[in-house]
Amino acid sequence: MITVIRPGRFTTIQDAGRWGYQTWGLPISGALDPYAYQIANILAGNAPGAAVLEMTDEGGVYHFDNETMGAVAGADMSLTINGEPVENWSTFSIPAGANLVFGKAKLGRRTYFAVCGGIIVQPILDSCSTCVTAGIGGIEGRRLYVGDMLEIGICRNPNQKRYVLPPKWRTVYGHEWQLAVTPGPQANWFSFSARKDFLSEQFIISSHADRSVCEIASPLLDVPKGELVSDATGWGAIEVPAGGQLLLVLPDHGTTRGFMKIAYVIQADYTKLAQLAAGDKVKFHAVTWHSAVDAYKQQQKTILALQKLLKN
Amino acid sequence: MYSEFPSVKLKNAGEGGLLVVFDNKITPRLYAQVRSFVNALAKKKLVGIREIVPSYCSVMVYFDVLAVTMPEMKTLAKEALAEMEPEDTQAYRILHVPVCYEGVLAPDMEKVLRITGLTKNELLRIHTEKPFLVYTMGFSPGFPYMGDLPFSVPRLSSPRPVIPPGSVGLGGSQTGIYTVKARGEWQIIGRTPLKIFDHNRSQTFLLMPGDYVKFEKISLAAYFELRDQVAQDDYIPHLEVIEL
Repeated sequence: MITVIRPGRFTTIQDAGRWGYQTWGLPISGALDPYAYQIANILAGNAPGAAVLEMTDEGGVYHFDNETMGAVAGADMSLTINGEPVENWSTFSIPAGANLVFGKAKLGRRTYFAVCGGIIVQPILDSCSTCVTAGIGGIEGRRLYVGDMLEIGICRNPNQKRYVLPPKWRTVYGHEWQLAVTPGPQANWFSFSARKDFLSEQFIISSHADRSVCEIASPLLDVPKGELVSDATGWGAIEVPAGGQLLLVLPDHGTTRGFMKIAYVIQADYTKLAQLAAGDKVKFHAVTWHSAVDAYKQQQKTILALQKLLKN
Repeated sequence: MYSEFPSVKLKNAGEGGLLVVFDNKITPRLYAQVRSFVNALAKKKLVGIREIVPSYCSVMVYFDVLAVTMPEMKTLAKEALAEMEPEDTQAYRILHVPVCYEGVLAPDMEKVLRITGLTKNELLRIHTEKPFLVYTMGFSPGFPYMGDLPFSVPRLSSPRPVIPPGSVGLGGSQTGIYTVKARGEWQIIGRTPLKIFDHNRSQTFLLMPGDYVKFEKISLAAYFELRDQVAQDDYIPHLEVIEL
């Protein structure tokens, strides 16, 4: 059992998401940084879809009754166990009675903590992911509160190798980000100069960001005339509302919306998209469908290689 | 045939999304095409399709890029366009939704009557006379966007912080039902005791896009009676299937 001593700024239970219900207006939810999420689970010896804690900005304090093993990946929150520092992107032992203390994210925003055996909650529509806007999943469809008790699944390989992920396999964090994009369904509605600005300007992330949308404060983009009838809007979409302020779409976003989509962030860069913090700078560059898929395949290869490495 | 839809556009929406765009309008006829296309595509059962999400006049296909390529997906979409059944041969469902249009359950009723110049009887006749098509769902899980009203009402200038589930609202020339406690800016003219979305129930969603909703006026007393029945899981929603 894990007891939440302090829940941090916004900690929820997430897994690989609740796919299959967007027709009914239910967002997919799930870990915002799918790469860090998968790495954390593999490092902890879990099956790929196990439920983990997703922490935002500041992680909180968690008490463990029994001895177990866990892993942490994503933004570095200076994790300590009973006061001893633990390296980020690594597997570690958790002694009985231990307190895990996650601090503030130094760079980036989101950290994934996987415990061996996974966190056990009642799945809703095939997923444990918390969707706060729908009020379902995780613990009562909400973020964690002080005193919440989290059940842990059975750890199948407690003797698995303690492993530290090599730096070349980690997402690189900073205050300046480069995101690769492919053109969105309404890209050709925008003027040539708006498209040029989109790919050449440096954009500043605003402080308005939750699990649905990450807002860009400036600069604004020229918005074409005309109204778009709502269409399905997916993860990574870059929406341009009437004011010209870009919105980056995340997995708790409504499933359909009437904003023009100038571009989509590629799947391999979701791991960066989840980490954009207020004041960070971001530039977009266009890639082809093929290189977007190649980048995603490369990421999946790393995940498979790690899986294989830890099996031996 | 695909050539019968020269205006259909196939648009990339991320590397794992294909948006099939029929037009940029809201009409029942266009929506029938959307529905017919979804049926044709669903029949093909291609491995790698993660989800098919229809909207008013377009259909999104989300797929796994490790299993299918975009050119393959586009070919499949064109085949489905060619195999679309005529839209007027499809069965449809009508959910009968009891609504109380009285007192505190209809906080914006007076305002809506003032804006539209209708009497309450006229408004209720329009709202309960014929079934409304559910074009799409969104905003919150299971929230049905239904058209088409013969008048239009503005949204609230500042959203209400909490709208109880079951509230029936008007926004523009559409009507909808709030399914979870939410912030909202539609004008509320009544409330249904039905739970359109309930994750504790085996049938999580009472409605899906393409269904029709027939509103039925009930009294305040009937509202409370039905609400108790729903709470005790003792109420079977009246769902009519129209075969053609």
